[in-house]
Amino acid sequence: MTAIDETATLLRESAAEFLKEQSELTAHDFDVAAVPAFEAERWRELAQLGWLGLGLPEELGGPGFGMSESAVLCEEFGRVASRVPYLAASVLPAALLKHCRQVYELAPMLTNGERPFAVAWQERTTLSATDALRTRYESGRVSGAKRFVIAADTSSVLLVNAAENGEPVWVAVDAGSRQVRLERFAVGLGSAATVHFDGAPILGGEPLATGAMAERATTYAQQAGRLAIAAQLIGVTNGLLDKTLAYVAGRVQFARPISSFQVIRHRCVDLYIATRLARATFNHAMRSFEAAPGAPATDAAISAAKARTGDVAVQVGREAVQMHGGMGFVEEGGLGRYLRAALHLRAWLGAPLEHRRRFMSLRAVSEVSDVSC
Amino acid sequence: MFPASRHDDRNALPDDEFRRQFRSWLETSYPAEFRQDHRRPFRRLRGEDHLRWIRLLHRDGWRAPSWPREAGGMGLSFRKLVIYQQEMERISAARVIDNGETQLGPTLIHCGSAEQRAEYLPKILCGENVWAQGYSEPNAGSDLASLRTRAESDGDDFVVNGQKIWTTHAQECTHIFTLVRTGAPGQYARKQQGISFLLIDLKSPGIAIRPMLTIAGETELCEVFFDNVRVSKANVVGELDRGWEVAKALLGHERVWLGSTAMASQAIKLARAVVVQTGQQHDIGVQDRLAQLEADLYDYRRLYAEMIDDIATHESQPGPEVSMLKIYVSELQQRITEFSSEVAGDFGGAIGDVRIGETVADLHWQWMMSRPLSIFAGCNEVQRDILARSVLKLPEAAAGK
Repeated sequence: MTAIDETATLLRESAAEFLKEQSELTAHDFDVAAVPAFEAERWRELAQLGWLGLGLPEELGGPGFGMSESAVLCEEFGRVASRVPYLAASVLPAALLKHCRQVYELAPMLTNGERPFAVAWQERTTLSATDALRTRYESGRVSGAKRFVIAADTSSVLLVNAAENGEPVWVAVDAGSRQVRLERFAVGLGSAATVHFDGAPILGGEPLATGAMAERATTYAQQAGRLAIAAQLIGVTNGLLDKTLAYVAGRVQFARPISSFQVIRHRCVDLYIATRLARATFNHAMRSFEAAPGAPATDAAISAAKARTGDVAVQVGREAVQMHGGMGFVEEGGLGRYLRAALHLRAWLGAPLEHRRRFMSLRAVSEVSDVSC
Repeated sequence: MFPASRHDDRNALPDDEFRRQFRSWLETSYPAEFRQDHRRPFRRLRGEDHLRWIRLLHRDGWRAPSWPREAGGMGLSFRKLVIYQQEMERISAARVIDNGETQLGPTLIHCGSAEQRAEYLPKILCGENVWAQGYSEPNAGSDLASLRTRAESDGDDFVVNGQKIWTTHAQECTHIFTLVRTGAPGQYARKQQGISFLLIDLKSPGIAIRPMLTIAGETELCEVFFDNVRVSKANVVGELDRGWEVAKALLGHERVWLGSTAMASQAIKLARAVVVQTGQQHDIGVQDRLAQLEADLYDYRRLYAEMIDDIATHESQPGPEVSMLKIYVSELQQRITEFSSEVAGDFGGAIGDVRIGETVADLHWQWMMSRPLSIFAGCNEVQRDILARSVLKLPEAAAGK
């Protein structure tokens, strides 16, 4: 076993333990459109486990892991369809801070669980790398609006990108500041917010990154975020498939388990093949990212993985409902939260259609080999 | 017994050096006219072309990569076999249907007698004997154990009567290895028992071969009729009445190569060419459908690579999960060829070679030739049954019943 494998196994085991209780249905599951409040106490538990800022380097107070370890945890959060916004409030911000300067005050705030973080970087319906930033930064203040800021709370530290004289910058803003307004709504198993900045002051007095450094931080965080989402989608998918296999094996009709009917068996096999395809392409994207994060071929691999994992999660979700029969359609059947997680994660940071188009254009640039193993 | 390979042990080479040597040999030796191209994306070599290629491989020590060196093969590890396949794919080498090398050889090496190995293996290597596979019968396809071709004992011989079907290229083969029923009616409880693995010379009196025209316009499949054909009892491989086990043992790594992306890669190249040559490279609807197929192939390559790497790393035999490779890649190839025919405008109905812009292609042939991929070598429905039972372990009947 390699060191990474050992770490992954340990993380997986402690995550399974921590998340066990979360697989139970709670009142939240029966109030689907409610905008959940941020659970500060639970968040501090994650800090005690050492999971917050897992991707931060040692000099910033993190354990110096790569993305694989964070992805292991995301997969486990997905497997139980957890409501804890680990990906949005820890993994994504850490990926961003890793490539910024002036973060020595922010990093401990992230790792000790004192404040949740949220990344505010999207201005349109989907996140596009090519659209010009309309949010402005000038003389220590931010003005503009960001959309689909996942898991933002008034207690959050917002990491915001903006344009300063046409150049990109990353800054930190206190979401509780008077010049910040959050319109929160329910997405997936948590919340998203449209965030309005009206001359909001930044934290720390200067940007976290400017110019080329800011661009690099954006690119890295996008890639890391998409990989983390793909990992969480794989968890959601496998959670759904396991539930479905157990259900068809136990559900008796016409005096036989419905798993004895060939039509059910073959459909389960097709879902299984889809999950294996998703995991294989995710593994490849993760290896490419660890080896050559900046390469166009890596970007192509990540887009392929994001598209595949999103498609497969929703495909397995649809089939899970059908094979659960009526129990698939009622909340007490336990599939609803998985479906909401799948729909949200499929959309977040780019839906499959968009990523397949990216894949095609990047693939042309990177000349992905036709024969490869 | 018979000559072991007289060539250097290429399995001892470092992987990179092995790849370099095979690539360089292929580039200088592989006949250009045998390569797959748009016109014949799934080209197969037959007859004299097939023999010419086999003799070239044999002459230069690249024949029978998976056979042990003592049997005259290359004795390659699984990882080197993967490289061998990759390089074949890279040069767009045509497919060959070589049952002698891929199926009978390994069977004789495992289950055959010393005399059988000495008699048949060298002739497979040099191309003197070309073997057909005689398993399926009109009423024994997926349910192969229902086969009825009989071999009755008569002194030192068997007398064979019955019929085989779907025998690929039988008209170009010299011999056929068969499964025939040797057990007396009522002798065994299970239909898999009482079957023997029998080698038959196709020149024997009483054999008739009838080619069947396929919907792709080729005569690649045959029926083979046996009318009182005398076959020596020395030609039984393994134990009498235990041929089912002999046949099952030979699948091994060959099942992995069924998942190769070689043909799907050729199909997608043709699909790209059709899109460009019909001026649809900026049609977003067409592009999105092509992107889906490209992403499917790209992701599938990752799965194929991952499973191959797993087998190579653990030096294990492939498990039942390799069935998913054949299912996915065969259906993907069908979707790709379907796409090409569908977006090609009125060329979608053309039969035979037509010029589409700068590309010459036969869309009818490639569409038709993709149909049997989900039927042969264990139809996809049977493969799904295997996965449901052996990998997902889904219960088939109520507990306690």
